[in-house]
Amino acid sequence: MNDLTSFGNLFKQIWVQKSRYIYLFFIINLFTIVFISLFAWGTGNYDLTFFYTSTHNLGNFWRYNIATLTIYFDIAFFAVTCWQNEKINMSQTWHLAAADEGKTYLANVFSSLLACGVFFLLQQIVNIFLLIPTMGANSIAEAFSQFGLSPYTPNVPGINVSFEFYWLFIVLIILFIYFFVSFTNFSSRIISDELPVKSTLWIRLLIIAILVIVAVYVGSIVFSHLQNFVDTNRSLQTYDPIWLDDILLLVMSLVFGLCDILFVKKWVEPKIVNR
Amino acid sequence: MTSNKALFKQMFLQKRHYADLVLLIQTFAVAFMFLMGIIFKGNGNSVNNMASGIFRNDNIWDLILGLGTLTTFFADVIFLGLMCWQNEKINLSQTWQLIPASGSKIWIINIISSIVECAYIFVIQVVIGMIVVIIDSYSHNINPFVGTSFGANISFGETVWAFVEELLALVGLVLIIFAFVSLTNFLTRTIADQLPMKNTTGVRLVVMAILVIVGVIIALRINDQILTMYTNHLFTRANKAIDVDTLGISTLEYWIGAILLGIINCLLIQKFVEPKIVNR
Repeated sequence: MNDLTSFGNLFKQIWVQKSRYIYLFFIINLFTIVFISLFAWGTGNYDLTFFYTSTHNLGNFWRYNIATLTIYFDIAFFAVTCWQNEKINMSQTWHLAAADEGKTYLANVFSSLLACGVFFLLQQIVNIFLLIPTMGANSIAEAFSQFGLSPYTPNVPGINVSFEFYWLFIVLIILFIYFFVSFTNFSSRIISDELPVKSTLWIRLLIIAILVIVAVYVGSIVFSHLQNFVDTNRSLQTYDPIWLDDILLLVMSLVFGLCDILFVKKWVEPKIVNR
Repeated sequence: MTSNKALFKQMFLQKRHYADLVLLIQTFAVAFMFLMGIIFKGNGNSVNNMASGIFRNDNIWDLILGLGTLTTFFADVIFLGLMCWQNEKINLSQTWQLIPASGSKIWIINIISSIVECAYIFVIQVVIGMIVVIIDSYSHNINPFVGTSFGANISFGETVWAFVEELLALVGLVLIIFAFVSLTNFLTRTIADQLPMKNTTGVRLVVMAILVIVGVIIALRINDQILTMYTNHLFTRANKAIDVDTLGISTLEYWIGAILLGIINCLLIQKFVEPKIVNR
């Protein structure tokens, strides 16, 4: 039992459980690429509603559409990892592991983050191969620069100096949403346990909706104020101000992360029926 | 209990909890955004800007009307999702399948009760919206009951037809979504049962994703083809007065699609689908 309680072992065990979904989603992703390509090539119609190309051939079709496709699958995969996180957070089996609750929670979140990273990397490897017909040797830079993640963009002079901040931005936004989803889950459970009425799914959905509405509203106000601040400040505009969003997200992630660790230590009880 | 009416009533009552939930959440959302919108005025408030983009932003009634319209859209989409989930929950529930009625009858009543549920939530939203519109018009010193304030200059018959067509389109869209979700669910279960490997969530997920992707792309392609045919048909008669009505074509597509998928669903539920023991 003792060897499971170290952070590394916890991480590894949770990772094994989650890595299955990486391969599942990667198979679905590959199938979609093959199916759409065959469909477009077979019918000679390269404008498939979501996917658009100016020149009608397969190479260009890939070049203009892989980023869209990658993002759709990333969002779907991200949603599944959120669900997996909460499943582990609420599982009695995982709470029986003789480790600090906060440590289990952090191992859970970071293993999901790593799963997102591995999934994105697998997708990018496929994307690089698909870009070879149009971009040749530039395909690696092109695959990453479509997401703003490369210092060098093909056919565009200059260097994208703030590309590290885009990487950081993606990592931070994933962490922030994980922490926020856990926060909503935990606090809805705590509140519905405290209420005098029976704790049903109905009440929990109501509490979750209220929390999400408040958070989205406050978030929209904060981000538009930030945008106004950047728009009126000349010195900020000389440099890509994405680092401002990074700082904001970092602070919010820390706040929600600490709340979550507090919640798992003090209040949250795992469910008996795990689904 | 096996009469259509009793079945319908029980399903309706079960699903009405969720209609009430969505309406309650929407009320909270409008009240919250309204209060915050009054406190935090100005350019920094993107929700206020969006709400005033729908109507003007002269007084508080405009803000309420704008927020209500904005949230109605989201509430209805979320409610549609909840209804799909409830449909599938009933379709796979052992308790419901124990009822001495044929599987396809239960499925049809299930879908109809969901449609009525959607009508229920929509009528409440529209009635409340109408009341706010009337108050808002008076606050701008406009009499809402004078016909010209809507700028309508078309005959009564045309107005009624346009209204009926829009309603039919909405109902058809909801029907085909319900039917497609059920079809995906049933087909996934049927296929996953036949596969040689163990029937796990993972296998079901892959089968489901493949079905959805293939289904959606083929549907979009068919839609494209029919619209092209319709446009060509209009061009050949370009010398006559033409009345372009793409909404009508879409409505027809939705209804034909929904009926076809519905027949397949009835067959599947009779022959292959087995309810689960653990119901969640």
